[in-house]
Amino acid sequence: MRKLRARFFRLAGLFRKDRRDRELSAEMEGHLQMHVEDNLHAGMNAAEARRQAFIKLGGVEQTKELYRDQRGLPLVEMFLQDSRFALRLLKKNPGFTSIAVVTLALGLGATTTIFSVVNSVLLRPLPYQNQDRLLRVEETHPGAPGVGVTFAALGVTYATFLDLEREGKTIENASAYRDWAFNVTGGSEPQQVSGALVSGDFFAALGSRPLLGRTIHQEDDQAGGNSRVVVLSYALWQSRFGGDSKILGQTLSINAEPFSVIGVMPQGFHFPQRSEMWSPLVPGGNLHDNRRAHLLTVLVDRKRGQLMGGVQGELTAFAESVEKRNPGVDDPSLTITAVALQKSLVAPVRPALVILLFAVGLLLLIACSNVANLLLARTSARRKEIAVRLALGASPARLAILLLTESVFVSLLAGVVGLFFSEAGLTFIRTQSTEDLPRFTEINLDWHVFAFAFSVSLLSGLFFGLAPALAGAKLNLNAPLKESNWEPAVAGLRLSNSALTILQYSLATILLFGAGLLGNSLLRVLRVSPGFNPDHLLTLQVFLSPDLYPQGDSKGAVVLHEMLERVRALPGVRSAGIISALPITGGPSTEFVIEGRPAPRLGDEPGADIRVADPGYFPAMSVPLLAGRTFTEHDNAGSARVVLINETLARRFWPTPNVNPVGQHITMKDWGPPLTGEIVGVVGDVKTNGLDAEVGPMIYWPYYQFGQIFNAMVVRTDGDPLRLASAVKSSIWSVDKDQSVSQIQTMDQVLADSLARRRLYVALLGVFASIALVLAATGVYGVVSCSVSQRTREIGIRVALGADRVDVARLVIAQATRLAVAGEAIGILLALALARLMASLLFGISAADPLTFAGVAILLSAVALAACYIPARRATRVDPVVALRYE
Amino acid sequence: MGERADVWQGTLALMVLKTLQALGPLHGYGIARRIEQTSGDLLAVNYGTLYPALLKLEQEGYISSEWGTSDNNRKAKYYKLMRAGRKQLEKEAREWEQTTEILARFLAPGKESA
Repeated sequence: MRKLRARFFRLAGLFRKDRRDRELSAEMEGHLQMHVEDNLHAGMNAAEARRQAFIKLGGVEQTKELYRDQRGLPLVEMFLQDSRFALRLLKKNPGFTSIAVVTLALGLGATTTIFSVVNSVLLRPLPYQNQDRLLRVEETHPGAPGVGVTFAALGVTYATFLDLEREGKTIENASAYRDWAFNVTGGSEPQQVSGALVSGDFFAALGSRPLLGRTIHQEDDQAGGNSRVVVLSYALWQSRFGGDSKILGQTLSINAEPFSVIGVMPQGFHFPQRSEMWSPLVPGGNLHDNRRAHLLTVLVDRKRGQLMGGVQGELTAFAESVEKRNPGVDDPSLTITAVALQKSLVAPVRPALVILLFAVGLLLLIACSNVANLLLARTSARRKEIAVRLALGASPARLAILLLTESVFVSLLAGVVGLFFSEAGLTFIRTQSTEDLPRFTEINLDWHVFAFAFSVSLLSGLFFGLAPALAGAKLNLNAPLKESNWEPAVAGLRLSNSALTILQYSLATILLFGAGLLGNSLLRVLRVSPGFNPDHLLTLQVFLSPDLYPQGDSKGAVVLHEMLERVRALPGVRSAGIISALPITGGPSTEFVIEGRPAPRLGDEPGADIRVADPGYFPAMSVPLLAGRTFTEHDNAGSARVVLINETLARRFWPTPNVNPVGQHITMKDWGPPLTGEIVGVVGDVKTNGLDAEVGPMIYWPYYQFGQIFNAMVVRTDGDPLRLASAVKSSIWSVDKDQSVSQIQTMDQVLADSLARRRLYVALLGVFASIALVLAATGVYGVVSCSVSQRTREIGIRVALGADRVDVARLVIAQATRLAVAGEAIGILLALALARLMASLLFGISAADPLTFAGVAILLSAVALAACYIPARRATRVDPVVALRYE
Repeated sequence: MGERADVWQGTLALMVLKTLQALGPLHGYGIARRIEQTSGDLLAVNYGTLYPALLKLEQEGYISSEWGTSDNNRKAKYYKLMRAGRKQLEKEAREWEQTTEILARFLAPGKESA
């Protein structure tokens, strides 16, 4: 208590100091006078009485100092004093302050930006119940060795989902969903809405509650029950229904069936990715009973107390038992694995984010060493002030604290400016973020980011302030005061200046090299031929409602054919076609066998992507026909089943040049009952999963034999494709006014979107590397120009002794070159070791690409030379007479 | 004068409190003189030790201060013992006695063999 009270009074003692000082002076004066009077009484003369009193009482000023220390809190007071001094100094040197703050703010802003992304995407827990135990179950098919597609991860079959739900011992709350599309008609334009079919316990497992009404329950997800119910997302509720408060119970026409709205989810709930609508999965049907239809994504909770190892053990045992239960049906080579949902969601961006975080760390280090260099230069300029302080009795530690206070002020100020930079950076990232960046819509600045920014600012202030503070505290006392020759005092400073510059150069080398590799990869990807001509191509999704046009029914084909004909008849349209999934964007695949060849072991069948195309697709896309024929209008339900294969499939399975695959038969296994078709032709490879992904085997089925509900239309136009968008829509609606048309965009846009992630990484790393380059250049400039002014006399002597301009310039350039080469050498060694970490982001280029190395080295050397141009020119103009008289 | 010892920091507070208890409200000079006299001029109290100590006692709430007028009409700050100070004085005095007693036993010649 007493201590607390004393602390309080001491805190109060920090204020109203003048009055307190006056009081103390008066009290001490009184004390002295009384003493003098007593001395007079004792018989001394006036002068002696005074003298004795002073001797006795000691120094007035020291006493005041001691008294003040007791009165306030000396540490706080020192801090306030240093802060005031630092602020005054920073205000007096706006040039220095703004350069230091902006430099550092660039580093801090970049770091904070990337940390915000990492924080929002990788670190922040998912907003679901039990999110730390929420797992995603994946079935993995290793694929036949050497042939076909290797499936990275498949969905789970409905049968497996039911078994897991029933038998799981280490897991609980199993739920399943399947990405789905909904045709919403009635009211305004028909709209295709993406969403999911979910099992009855999906919402309960996530612990997500509705904003209005209820979510989907177990009773909704029953065969024969009332399963025609939907839950809407907040965004859809607002955009299509204007936030109608009476939405519950309303009937919507979805896929031409009446569905009643039972609930609205709160804002921000869009799981799985970008879902706007949820409806019950409802067991039954061909695909659900098919033990080979891997359609579902299954979520489970790891039971409390269970470890991941235990869960994985059970799943492995389960995968082995599946084959025994259903001999000849299930794949024996199938494995089942569980991964944390969060990890699996963000897996595609994790490596790049880690690399970017590392990159901004390097950038921050460069910015710090740049400011450290500035401060060092200023410390040597302030040598007189520092020497005076030391001479007046300031301890080196006290002085170091004063200098550190200044750097911390610079860094905190930079931290605040950096936050503005990072808000701008995040705005940029948000505009770049397309659909394939998981959780990027959740990116924002939260208190984690602020805490991070504050601590990083503070740490970097201490870091870059340390060298100048130590150098300042170690300053030779006598030399600066004598003014003439202070070289020895700053020799140490110059050494650390050079070391910092080399450090900057090596870090900039690493950043530039990384950016160079990524940029080169992007250029290479852009040069990749997609296998078709993307110019003047309009694409749109035409999703046929499965209830109106059941699978295998020819009605859908007839309607779609009519729509195609009307689109083809539009002025400005050259050709049009239908494909079940656009190139580049991925799609379904199947296992297949070639008739007449020994049947592979069950589960070892090769895989191929599968697409359904109409006869007009290949000419519209300019996909070349390599052998045989393409589809015709006569390949319909009434004729023999035929297929086209791509070049890769033909080459891989008919490697001998003289053997023609045309006329052979191929059987597709995964889509309901096995289907066999005759190969009638071979077409050119088309990029399936992205420009930077290998093309695998592909089988095309004719549309009029294999009707599909998911369809994309491609329209080749004369002029700007988008100008035909509304005409194409009207043509489609003239056939069926309730047909949804979505994702109208040009093929160029599809290609660009597929590279959005790569572009974003290149843009970010490119910006970071450019900042690093500028900072490194200013670093070299600073060191060289500082050394030129320090060596003016030496240069003067050299010139007086006959050195010409070239010699002098060479002197300066040699110094810059030494720094640059040393930095580049160290940087290249480090970059070689680090580049392997980003191998997964590279395309068509090795992590040790010599051309990129050479380019980076040449660029950095050129920049170093440019940076010493001004100092070198100044050096050559040194007038020996002036230089020698200067001292 | 030179051989007079400075007061130890820890004991000065106790002496101040005792002085204020014995003489009532008193100014700094008075306190200093009283301590010196009581010690038989063996101790010297200067500004540098006295005033920070007085401030500390005041911050801790053992004494309070007030401006007043001295015997010869001089403005002076008077220090007064508070109730907390009285208690603290008793406590410290007891502890001090105990300490000196223990030390005295240690230092007494020949006793340990007995």
